[in-house]
Amino acid sequence: MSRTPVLAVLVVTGFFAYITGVRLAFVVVYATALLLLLAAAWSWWAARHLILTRTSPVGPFVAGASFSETFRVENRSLLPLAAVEVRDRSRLPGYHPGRAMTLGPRGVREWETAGRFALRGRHQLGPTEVHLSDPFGLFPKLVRVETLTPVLVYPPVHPIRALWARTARTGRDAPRGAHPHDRPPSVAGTREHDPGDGLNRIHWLESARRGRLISRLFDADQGTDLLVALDCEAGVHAGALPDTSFEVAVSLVASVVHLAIRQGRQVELVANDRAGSRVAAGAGPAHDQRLREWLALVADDGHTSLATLLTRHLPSWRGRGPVVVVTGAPDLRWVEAVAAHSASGDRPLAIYVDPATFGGPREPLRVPARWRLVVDLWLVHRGDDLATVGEAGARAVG
Amino acid sequence: MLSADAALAGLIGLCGLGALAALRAGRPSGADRIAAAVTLALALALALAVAASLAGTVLRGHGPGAGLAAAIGVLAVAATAAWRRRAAAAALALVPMTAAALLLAPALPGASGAGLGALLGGGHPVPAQAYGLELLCLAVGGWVGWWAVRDRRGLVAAGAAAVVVVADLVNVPGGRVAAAFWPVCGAVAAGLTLVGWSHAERVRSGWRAQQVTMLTGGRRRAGPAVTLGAIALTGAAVALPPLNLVNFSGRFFQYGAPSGSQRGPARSADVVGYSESVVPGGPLRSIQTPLLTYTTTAPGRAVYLRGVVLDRFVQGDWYPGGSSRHTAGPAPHLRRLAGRLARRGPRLRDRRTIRLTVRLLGTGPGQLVDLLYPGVPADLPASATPLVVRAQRARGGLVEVTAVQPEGGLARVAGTRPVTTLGTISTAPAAQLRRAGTRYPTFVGRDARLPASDGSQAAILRRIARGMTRGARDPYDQALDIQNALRTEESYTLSPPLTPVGTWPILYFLQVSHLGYCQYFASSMGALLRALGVPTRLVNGFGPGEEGLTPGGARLITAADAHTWVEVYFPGYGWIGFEPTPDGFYRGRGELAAVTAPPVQVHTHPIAPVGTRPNSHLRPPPRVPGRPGPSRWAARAAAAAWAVLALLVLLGVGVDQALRRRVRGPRAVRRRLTLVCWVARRERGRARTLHQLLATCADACDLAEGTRAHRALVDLVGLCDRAAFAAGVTAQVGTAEWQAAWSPVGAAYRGLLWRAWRSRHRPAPPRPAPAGTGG
Repeated sequence: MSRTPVLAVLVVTGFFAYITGVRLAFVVVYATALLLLLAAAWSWWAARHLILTRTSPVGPFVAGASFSETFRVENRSLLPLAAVEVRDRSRLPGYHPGRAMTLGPRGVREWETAGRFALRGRHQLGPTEVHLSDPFGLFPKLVRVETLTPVLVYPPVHPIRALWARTARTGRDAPRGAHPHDRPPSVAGTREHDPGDGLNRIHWLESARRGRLISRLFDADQGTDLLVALDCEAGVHAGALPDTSFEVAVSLVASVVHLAIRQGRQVELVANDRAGSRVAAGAGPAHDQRLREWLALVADDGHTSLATLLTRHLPSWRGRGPVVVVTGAPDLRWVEAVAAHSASGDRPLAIYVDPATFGGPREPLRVPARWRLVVDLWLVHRGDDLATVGEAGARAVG
Repeated sequence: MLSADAALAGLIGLCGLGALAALRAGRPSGADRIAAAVTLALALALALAVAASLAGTVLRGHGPGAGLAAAIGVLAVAATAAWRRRAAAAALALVPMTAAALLLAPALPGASGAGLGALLGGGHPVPAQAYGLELLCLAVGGWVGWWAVRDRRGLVAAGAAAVVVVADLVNVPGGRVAAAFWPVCGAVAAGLTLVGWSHAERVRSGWRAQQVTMLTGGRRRAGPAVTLGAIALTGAAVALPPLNLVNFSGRFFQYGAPSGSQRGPARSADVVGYSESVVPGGPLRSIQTPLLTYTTTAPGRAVYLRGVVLDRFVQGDWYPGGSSRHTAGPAPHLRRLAGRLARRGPRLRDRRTIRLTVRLLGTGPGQLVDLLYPGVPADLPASATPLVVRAQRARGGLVEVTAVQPEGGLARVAGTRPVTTLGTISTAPAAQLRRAGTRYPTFVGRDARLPASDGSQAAILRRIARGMTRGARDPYDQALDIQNALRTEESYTLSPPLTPVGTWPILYFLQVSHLGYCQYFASSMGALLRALGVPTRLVNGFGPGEEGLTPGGARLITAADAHTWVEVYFPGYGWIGFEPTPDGFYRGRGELAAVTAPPVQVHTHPIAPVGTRPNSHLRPPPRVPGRPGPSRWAARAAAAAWAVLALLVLLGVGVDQALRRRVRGPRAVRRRLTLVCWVARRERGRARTLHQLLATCADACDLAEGTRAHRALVDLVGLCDRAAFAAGVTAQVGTAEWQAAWSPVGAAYRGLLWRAWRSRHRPAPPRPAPAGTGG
């Protein structure tokens, strides 16, 4: 109930009481005034003695993973609260942990909520608001708990069997001839110097720091490099969150990258997003983590076409290893760019996530036959099992 | 005065209008149709009642106060109801309800067996009608309250409770609210509980609508808390003393009735005469009917003739106390009262015995019932008629005699023979009385306080008394200060204004009218002194009378000499008389002879000129008798408040009409849009185009594209474009086109202003960067 009408009643009744001098009218006036005072004091006091504790999960999650939170509301005053509502301002899609309750004097209510990270990206759990009021609803109060728990949600990774079979021949067991000689091997760590170690293996800076000779340890699982290009041009992808072609594309890139890293490859990632991001080639778990973090935050907000991106990066990549392009653009210029800059013997892989199946414009991808000879094209539709992408019987083109 | 039917119908109709306003704003469905039908019927009754009230006010030539209040109230309620602000409408409905209640009060005594009030009361006199009306109002209030609770309208529920309270207040006959006090307090507590419960239900329904998950359990704890809180609030409200107990409304609504034994309309004034009680009432007529002559042994031969002592104070009135009654005589063993009093009572100093000889005249002795004494009775006359002695007893003995009444009246004792009585008066000087102290005997304890049930009035009296006695350090100075304040600041008249119903006459006398006769003065002084804890009582008897009208030096007493004065108890000196009635007025004949020099045994104090007393700044200057003083300012302030209220209403109506006036060109449209931007504190100015103003207005008012108001504004601006920039015949925009374009905007314009007002504190959206500034 709003305070203004009550104040109006107070004024009118007060005027009536004063001009008539009737004691009962003064009782009404006093009761109304005391109602306002009591309600204000009730809300103020209750808000000061209300404790909200929210226990949120920490750590990275993968999209689709479940989580749970625990809420605890404690009324440390002796005033009962007839209506308390806890509202979550997390803006996590589909997650509604808020509850409404009644709290008695020194009452405690605790509940656990379960949710699921439906979307990759950086989310936060909190802030939390507690709405309470006096029993008459005159002075609503808002207690806002600003504690935030940031959560990074990675895109999901799928074991693409066809990709594993395709890249196994260039994996750990493959000859290292494809490795460019101008790129030093990755240092995985250091150890005490052994007299049999060559001078070029000594880590001179660390040796100087420690006062004794220290040798470097090289990553033994290095294979051929892989360039992954992700099409982030705005307007290319279609669909509504969380079911968009771009999310599928990101998930496919994460799967490809994860598999390549596991195979010991050096993976470089380029994208035509607004920032024109490029993650330089690298290998190992640390690089995998870096790539997944980047993939968790990437958005399809670029203004550069995929063809331009490929034209910019493929010439320098020529001869370093295979190329994987993930896109949803029916425009064939990017196919032309891939075909034009592919080294002989390397068949670039293009994964086409058909936006038409996600509600986008129905423009079929028509690849000329001459380009199918140099590009492997996998077609992904909405609802496809990503683990079976590229397998026989799946929608593979080319 | 307005009829009871119209006022009652207005009251009921206004209840209905408040409910109607709430109903219009809600979403009635199904079972609400019945409620809507009843509400509409009540609203129709309201219209008829208001028409009847206004017609009655105009045709019967009464003052404009009632009509003005009714008109303003109805205008306000109708405006807010049309505005669909149900809460404001329900709150404003209380204004005309209050006015109607005030109008209803005077109509009750006048109903006299006719009209709806009589029908409800079964043709019984006023109290039954009043309770019948109250019952009806309770039913109406209960119905509105039920409806409000069902529909979760907390304010309407509180309004219903307020209706019940107001109805109770105005329908208690004679202003004696004691019978209805606790039921009304219960209604207040119930109203507060209804507010709490309806709020809880509204919150829960909101949760259900928003699909908020509710944790079960714990609900039972809130209901008792609300109930207990409401009861505690009401209890605290009851415990607090009222700020004012005087009915000022009599200044605006000429109604009211004399209280006490003279209740009822003062169609004819009563006659001044001797009585066994002091009940300040309506106007009196003074008829100088000769009653008796007397001679005394007092110096100056003028005394106050004491008849009966009034020591029981009941709601502003005085009655003989419940002292022991003893029938004496004809055996003479009680004749020497003085001896018995000296043996059992407290020893009194500085007293003189005076003999009084009274000879009754043939005219009008029937109204004399008590023996007349020149002071405190000290002896009983020799009489064969049994005498009823009213006396105070303490510690098993007689300590004072308050009245002696022969069975059959004074004439039974006196006949044609003179009756001689002995009385004692104090001769103690003022210095001794100032040093008398406050160690009062037990038997005067109850004379030193007001009844506990009159706590709120006692607080008012105490405040007034303290204002009159600032600087007084002992009871004697306190008595003198109060006496002199009354003698100088109040005016004597036999035609005081009627006291409004529900107000103590002495409070109305002290705070509002300042006009009264001896009963007002003496009763006020007695109550004020008792409020300060000084033992006080009133005495009914006769003044000194006139000398020289009868042979033999006897003084003549007429019925017009009937008088009331005050006695104050001083330890060691007994009861000392004081005269609070201004000189020359108490007899109602304007003669100063007998009291220019204060009569013996009545203590008065020379009135110092204004400004010479230390506390003279606390007192207003003496006024011309018959003219009310400070209350005129209250009346003027109230009249000014009414005028301001009326002007505000008129101003609001005028502004509303100006805003709704249709536009006839692009400049007018620009002014309207600029006003919205100004209200919203958004950017405006001549440099902005109409489309920019439109965009600003839409943003300030949260108008989404495609809404009706937005489309109407776009159409209107488009029409302005055509009128301003198009050429040829197409540029001519006719009046009908302007009207058609403005009509939907005008209907929503007040809403736009309100939304713009509410968006004042919302930050404006950032302005887009000018083109060409990027890198």
